[in-house]
Amino acid sequence: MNVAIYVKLVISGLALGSFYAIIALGFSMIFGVTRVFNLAHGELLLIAGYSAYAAWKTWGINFWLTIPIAILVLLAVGIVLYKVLSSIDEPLELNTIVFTFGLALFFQNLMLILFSANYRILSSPQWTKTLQVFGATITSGSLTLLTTSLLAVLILYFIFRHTFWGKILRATIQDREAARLLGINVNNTVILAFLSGMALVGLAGPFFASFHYIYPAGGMEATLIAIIITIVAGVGHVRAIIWAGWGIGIVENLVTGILGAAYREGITAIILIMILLYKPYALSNSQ
Amino acid sequence: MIVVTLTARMQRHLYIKTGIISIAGIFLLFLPQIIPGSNYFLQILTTCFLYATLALSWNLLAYSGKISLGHAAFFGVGAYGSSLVALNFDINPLLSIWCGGCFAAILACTGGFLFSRLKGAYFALTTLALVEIPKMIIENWETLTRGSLGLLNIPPLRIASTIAQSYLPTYFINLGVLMLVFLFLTLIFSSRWGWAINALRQDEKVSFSLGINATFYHVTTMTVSGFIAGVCGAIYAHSVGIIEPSMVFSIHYSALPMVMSLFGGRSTIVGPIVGAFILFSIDQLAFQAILPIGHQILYGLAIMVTILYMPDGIMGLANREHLWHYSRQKK
Repeated sequence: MNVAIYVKLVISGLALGSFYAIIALGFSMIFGVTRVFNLAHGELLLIAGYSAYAAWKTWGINFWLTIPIAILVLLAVGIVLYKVLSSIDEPLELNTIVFTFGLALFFQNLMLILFSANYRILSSPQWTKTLQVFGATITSGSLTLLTTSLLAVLILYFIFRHTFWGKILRATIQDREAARLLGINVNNTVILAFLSGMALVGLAGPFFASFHYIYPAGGMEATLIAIIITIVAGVGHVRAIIWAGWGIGIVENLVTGILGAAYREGITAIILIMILLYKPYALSNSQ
Repeated sequence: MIVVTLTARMQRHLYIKTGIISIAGIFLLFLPQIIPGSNYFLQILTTCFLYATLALSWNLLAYSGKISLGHAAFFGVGAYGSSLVALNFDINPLLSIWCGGCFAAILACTGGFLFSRLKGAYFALTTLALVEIPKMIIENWETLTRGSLGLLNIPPLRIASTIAQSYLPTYFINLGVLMLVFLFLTLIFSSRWGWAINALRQDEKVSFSLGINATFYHVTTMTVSGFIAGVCGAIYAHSVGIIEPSMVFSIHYSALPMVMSLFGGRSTIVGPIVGAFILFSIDQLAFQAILPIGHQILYGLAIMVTILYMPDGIMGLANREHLWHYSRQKK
């Protein structure tokens, strides 16, 4: 293989990685404020993807218009989900992980009933244009993915670091009780953060449906990746999340490019196990 | 040396329970003679036995305080191990299913050793990821396993006096394995080993101070649990005849034992069996007819309802007295 292929793999890895960063940011916000290990995260992504696909298929609208639809759908799901999740008993971590595992199963079968097991893709003609960078061909699709994700992450970074609400949010993630003592309305912050996390997944959904073939059982890998990135980066650390996202994206692309696609899921799983063995209590206490 | 003695009441309870189960077992043993006509009903029961055994193996691990989200790993390794042994060495499936169990036990032992210091949700996450590793190996080792094409013509289970193409041998073997596992677990739970893992679940730190070797007990529990799940996978492979990686390593076989145990009641020994019988019957008799695809939505619903409304499951609703007490402390 020559250098051009590696350049291509790395650049599309960066695009993939920024996309993973958005998914992981959603996971990390939800986990940060509610301590819920959301194993149905990938399924939520698929729901966003499928609703974008359905809107595109029935009304024939532009790709960009499907994003607000997906976000709205996920916000609706998020409100119901928040109500249900907040009524789960102690021990919270274990119960929520089992609960959301059931939820993942529920969503998978629901999508199977609604959309059948066929592979679907929201095809958008503008993604296939190509341009040359260092002798490697890059599709405009991965470039759009890269810029959109970076933009979203930058906006979030700004909100987290330079606004009052971001400060409140970080305080709530770090220590809920202390935040309450300081007069922060913790409940509102938690709901708002939860819904922002859902909206991020809603943003990622149409891209997911547009760059991958989606099928009902395809959510678990996204969940595992979101968990890996969250564990590596820590909860609510936006900059670390984008670094970790890029790392995972590039590793995945290189593995797929060199070993073949059959190894990708296995490698993701091995990375997760290694990280958990190396940092066993990474998320157990406030950061 | 700690000598564990059962109180008279517990002893009586144990005898009654074992008695009832034995009578039920004998009844089920003669059921095919009583209703020879209803094929479909017996087929459902056959699968119920298999899933009940799988649920018992999951519950054994849960009894030691660890929630597994990846029993499909052991199930799949058992299925592939047994089929490959039977196909390549021309061994009777009745023997090869135990080989399948041993392969799964090796995986479980390795996993148990590596993951022994992880707790709660983190252990659950590793088991979830663990499924992908044997799946990846089997999918890519094409010279041995034919990769994602799967294995064909796996020899069916046979008992000498029965006709080859009947479901009856599988019925008796599944029932036999279920009874064996159930009796084994009943004995184990009242032994020193059972008390040790019970203590580990309730409070790991206090058990350390009592001199319980946590790593040893976690590894052995996981090995036994993996072995049973592997045998279930092997039986499944031989009764279906065709397997492929995405089938036996599917999330379905991680979810089923968990759902059935939780729904039936993980805090009792009969719970998983009750859960398997109720849920699988509802699935086959009602959901299968209404929703031909996606009928497994039932299992997702069952997990959610159980966690929200009845943490001790059906058996927990029935008798609150004889529950194993799960500690409900925060971390």
